[in-house]
Amino acid sequence: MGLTVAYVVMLEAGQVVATNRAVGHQLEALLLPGHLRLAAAAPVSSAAAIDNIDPVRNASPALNPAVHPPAAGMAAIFDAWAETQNMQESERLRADLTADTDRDRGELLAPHIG
Amino acid sequence: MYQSRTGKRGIVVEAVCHEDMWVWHHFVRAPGSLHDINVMQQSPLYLDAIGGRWPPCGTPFTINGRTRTLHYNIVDGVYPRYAFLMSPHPQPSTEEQTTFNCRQEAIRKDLERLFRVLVKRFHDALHPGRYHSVSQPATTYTAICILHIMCVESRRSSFLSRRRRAAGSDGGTDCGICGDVGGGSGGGDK
Repeated sequence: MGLTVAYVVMLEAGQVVATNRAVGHQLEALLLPGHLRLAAAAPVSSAAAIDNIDPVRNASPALNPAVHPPAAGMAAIFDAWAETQNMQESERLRADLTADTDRDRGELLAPHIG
Repeated sequence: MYQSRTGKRGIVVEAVCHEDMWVWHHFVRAPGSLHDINVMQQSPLYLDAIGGRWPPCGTPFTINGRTRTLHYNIVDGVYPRYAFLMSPHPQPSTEEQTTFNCRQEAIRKDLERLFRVLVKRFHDALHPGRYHSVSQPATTYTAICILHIMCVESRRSSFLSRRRRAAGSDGGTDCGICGDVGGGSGGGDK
C-alpha cells in the first residue's frame, strides 16, 4: 500500500527520478514521513510562493516543495558534505553576490535616499 | 548550568531568522564559553546541512546570471568559507566589495534585532542563572520562540518590508528562502 502511494505521489508531482540510484533508496526516501509530505505538494516557484502568503491569516513563510526529494544513502551524504564545504563555490557565490549587489546599488539605496 | 567566558552564567543561543524576525532555527545547548564555530559544529542546522537534509534544494535561485540550488545563511567573518555560509569580504579593497559588506552587515542586523526583541518582549530570556539545569533554558527559549513567532504572524501584514514587496519596490535579490531574507547564524550570551 505504501509503495503504491509513493508512486502515485511521484507521478502527480511530475518529479524526475534520478537514474543513478537504486529504486529502493528512492522509495525509502519518499516513504519517510517528512519527505512524503514534501513530495505530495505541487511544485511552485519561489515568487509564486511569496504571493501565496495570505495577508489576512498571515501564514508562515512558505517552504517550496522539493522537486528532487532528499536522497538517501551514504553516497548522497558524502555528496552533500562535499557540496556544502566547497570553498571555491563559496568564493564564486560571494563574487556573484558582490556583482549583483553593485548592479542593483541605486535600487537598493533608493528607499533610504528618498 | 554553563558558564560564559566572563565567569558568569551563560549559554549560547544560535538562531537563524527571517527579515521579519521569523525564527527558522534556534539551538540552545552549548556553554557560553564556546566559540561560535564550535557551537555551529554541534548544531542540528550544521549537521542537517552537511547531511543534505537542509536547506531544501528544490527552489533554485539566480544570482548574476547563475542558477544555484544550495541556499545560504548570512554570517559574520569568523565562520569558515562553506558554500552554505556567506561571510563578508575579509579585506574589502574595491568599492563593490565595500558595498557588498555594508549590505551584508545591514541584513545581519536582523538577527541582532531579534535577540533584542526577544529579551525586551520576554524577560525570561535575559536571566539564564535562574534555571537549575541546561534543559530548562532550552525549553524556555523554545517556548519564547513559539510565542514570538505567533506575535510575528499576527503583525506581519503591517511590516514595512512586506508592504514594499507588495508594492513591488523592494530591490532585494530573489534568492528563495534565505537570500532577500537575511538568515543568519550567530550566537549570543544571554
